[in-house]
Amino acid sequence: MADKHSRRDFLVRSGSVLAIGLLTPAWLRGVALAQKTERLNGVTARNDNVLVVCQLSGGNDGLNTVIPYSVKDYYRLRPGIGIAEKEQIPISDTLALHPALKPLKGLWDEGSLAIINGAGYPEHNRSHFRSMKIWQTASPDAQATTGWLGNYLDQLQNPVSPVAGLCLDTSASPAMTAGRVSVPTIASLDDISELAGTQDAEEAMRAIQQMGGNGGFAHVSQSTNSALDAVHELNSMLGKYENVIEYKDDKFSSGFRQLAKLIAVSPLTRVAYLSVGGFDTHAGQADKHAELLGNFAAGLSSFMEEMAQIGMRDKVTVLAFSEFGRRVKENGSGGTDHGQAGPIFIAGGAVKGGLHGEYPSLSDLDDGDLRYSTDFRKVYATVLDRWLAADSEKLLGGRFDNLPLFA
Amino acid sequence: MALNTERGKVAHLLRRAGFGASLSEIDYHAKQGLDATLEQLLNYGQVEEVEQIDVFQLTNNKGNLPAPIVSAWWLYRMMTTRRPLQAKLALFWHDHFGCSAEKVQNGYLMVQHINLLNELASSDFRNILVSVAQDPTMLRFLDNNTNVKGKPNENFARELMELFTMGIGNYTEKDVQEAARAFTGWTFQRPNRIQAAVKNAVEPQFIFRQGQHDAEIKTVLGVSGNLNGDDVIDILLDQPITARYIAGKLWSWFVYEDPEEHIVDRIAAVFRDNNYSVKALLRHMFTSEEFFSAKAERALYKSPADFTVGISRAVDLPGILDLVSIFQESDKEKRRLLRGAVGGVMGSMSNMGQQLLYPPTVAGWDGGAAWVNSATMLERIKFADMMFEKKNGAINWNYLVGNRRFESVGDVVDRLCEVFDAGLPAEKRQIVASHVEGLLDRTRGEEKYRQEMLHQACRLIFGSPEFQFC
Repeated sequence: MADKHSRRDFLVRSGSVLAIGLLTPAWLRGVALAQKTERLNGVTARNDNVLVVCQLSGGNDGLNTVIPYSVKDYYRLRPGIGIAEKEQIPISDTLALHPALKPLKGLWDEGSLAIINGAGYPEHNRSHFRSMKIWQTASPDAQATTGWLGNYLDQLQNPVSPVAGLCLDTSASPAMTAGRVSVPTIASLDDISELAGTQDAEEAMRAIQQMGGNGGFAHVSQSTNSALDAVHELNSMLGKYENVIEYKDDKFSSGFRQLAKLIAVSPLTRVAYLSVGGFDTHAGQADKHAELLGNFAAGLSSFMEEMAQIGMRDKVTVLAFSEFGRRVKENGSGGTDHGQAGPIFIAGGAVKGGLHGEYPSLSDLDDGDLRYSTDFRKVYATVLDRWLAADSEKLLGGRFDNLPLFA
Repeated sequence: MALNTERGKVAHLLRRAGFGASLSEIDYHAKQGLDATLEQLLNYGQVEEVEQIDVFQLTNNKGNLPAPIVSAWWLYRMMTTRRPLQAKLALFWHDHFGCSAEKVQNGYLMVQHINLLNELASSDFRNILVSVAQDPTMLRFLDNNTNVKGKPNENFARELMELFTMGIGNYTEKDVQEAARAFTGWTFQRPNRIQAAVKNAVEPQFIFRQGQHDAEIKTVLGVSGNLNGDDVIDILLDQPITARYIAGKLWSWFVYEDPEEHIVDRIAAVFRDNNYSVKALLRHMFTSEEFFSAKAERALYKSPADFTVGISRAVDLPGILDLVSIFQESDKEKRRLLRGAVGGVMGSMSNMGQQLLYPPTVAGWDGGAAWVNSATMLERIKFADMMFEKKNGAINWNYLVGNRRFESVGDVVDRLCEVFDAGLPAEKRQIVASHVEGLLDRTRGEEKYRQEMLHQACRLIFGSPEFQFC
């Protein structure tokens, strides 16, 4: 679009009365209302913290990610794929990181990286799909139709921006599925300008989305309108910023790079979602896993560095998780089968770094798997309550204790 | 084009038992009649196939067959085949078994797999299961080639139960572990170097290695014995839930999603009574009252394959691109031509969330409503841009509307809706017409205007809610 300022800038500046036309998208009406609500309710500070969720799909081998290096069973049960002690990066008297995570050592040393060991949930499910759904919806019966972040976006008093939440992907994450608002999924933020058409074309496209049809029509219309809103918004902003850090080219790095850009230009973005697969290492695990962890660590550390450079270090928290850890004993293929508990990583300037949650015992296994010691919903609850200023009890449908994850 | 006319029913059948059809194909089949059309679709083995590209002529200079060229070869087949139901079923099984080139890392194996799925397409489910379980591509994909006595690998056994036969919740973890033991020793033998040098001379083949097989007693779903993989497959096929799961999934793919309980009862019985014949089940489904009901009409979300192959077939993209001449070209030129020609469509499909040969997980693609989100809608709209780009064939006025005379822009829009089998109601056609009429002031020259008009009209049609369903 040609306008120099985004619609939001204009609204914020004009401040007072806003004429709302029929063609005004819902989120824009929301902005006008938000100004009002803020005054009416006397809310003094808008919560402007940002959460980035990074999903490691396939079941990350937590035991080789955060290694209990003094436990003999570790080496005994993993003669082939166990990480030799001299290669590990020690982070406490008992635990060490996989060598590929070296880029995270800096964050760890400065106290900006928290690791929650033994994260899981009761009555574990070893199916990728069921277990991932459980993490995404925060409901162990996997019956919920909306995601935990979708629930959060739904309860924001008004849809303050079409990109309040954004999935950087070609497929929408169930974690971001909301009941009321529409959360855009955008494949790449690099070619947004190509997607924006003329004002007339955009209006015609909105017009054709309206009216009747089968039940799926509403879903299509909502998706298209959400896309048009997001493209409109992003196109006016993204051109104003170039990444200040160089990233590698893998999926983690490219994802983190684009999210850094998004956060730099979009002050109303609250939650962004990134997922990268490949962690289902049933065979030939060693090289593959090292590569994935290395990419994850490099991407995350570049991202945090960029956040620091643009003064957002204390405003952004990254949460990285996987649907399950893997079997303690390696299999015959130089890999590991599906397991249970695994670590969650939380990084950010406001994060209270260090170890949380009890590391699961390797001698008291559940059918060959690590038992969980911390319900992952405690981590979600902490992030919702302490970081996003939301009511976790409402959003998770139950009370979960907070962990001391934020300073 | 409601489903109360013979022509409407034929078009509906072609959207489901294939990827949609061009106007002339619909004309042809409508003349043939619904019953004859169905029989021709089902008995595809008797239909003379159009010439297909020999994939082994597409190897690169190093003799490798990269997965993208295999995808291009397969996509060309979907765009041109005279056996659309076979192609659609191969895609169904690809989605069902979820083998990804990402893991398999071998184009030859992917070809072997796709050929197998094409061959098995409407066969009986036991044959399909056993053949796929012994397919080197699957053995490698789910690591059963390293599943050996004393060190079982559960990958295949778990997905066999969870995704390929019964569905989650119908077995225990113990069943998975025991079944894994039953499949120990199922692996494949690679061709040796000399054999491999002669391309396609010897494909990797299934082999049962007795020495690696765990011959102890196992218990799977209550059945005990020295079970082998075949026994486990038979045990799974004996579970009533298996017929329900597979028949229900086929119904959801071909008729409408989430069939009612009584329908599942009925089709599961049909499936079992016909020894799990997929063909018999499909015949039952395509002749059922429900198939032609309002509930089924344009009720399924188009997959990216339905969307892009449908459009390609509607305009005869291979014809426009002069791909027919590919058979006269040298191998190297064939490769270049094919990639150039269908590369754009492949890229679009991939951005729409369906990269052939690369299902995102072993569960295949989520499908249904998950095909549509903001990212994929942008891509579906953008497909019109690609179509009108010069290098992608420069679809022009003559191709889309011919030398007909039109009274108004509205007539042109009507014609486009007909060409693309787009069920847009009159009000929406009016929106398209008004928009493209407005372009007249801004576009210089009649030729340019015509092109721009078609392009913009297609963007709106492709982005309409109506067009996302088949």
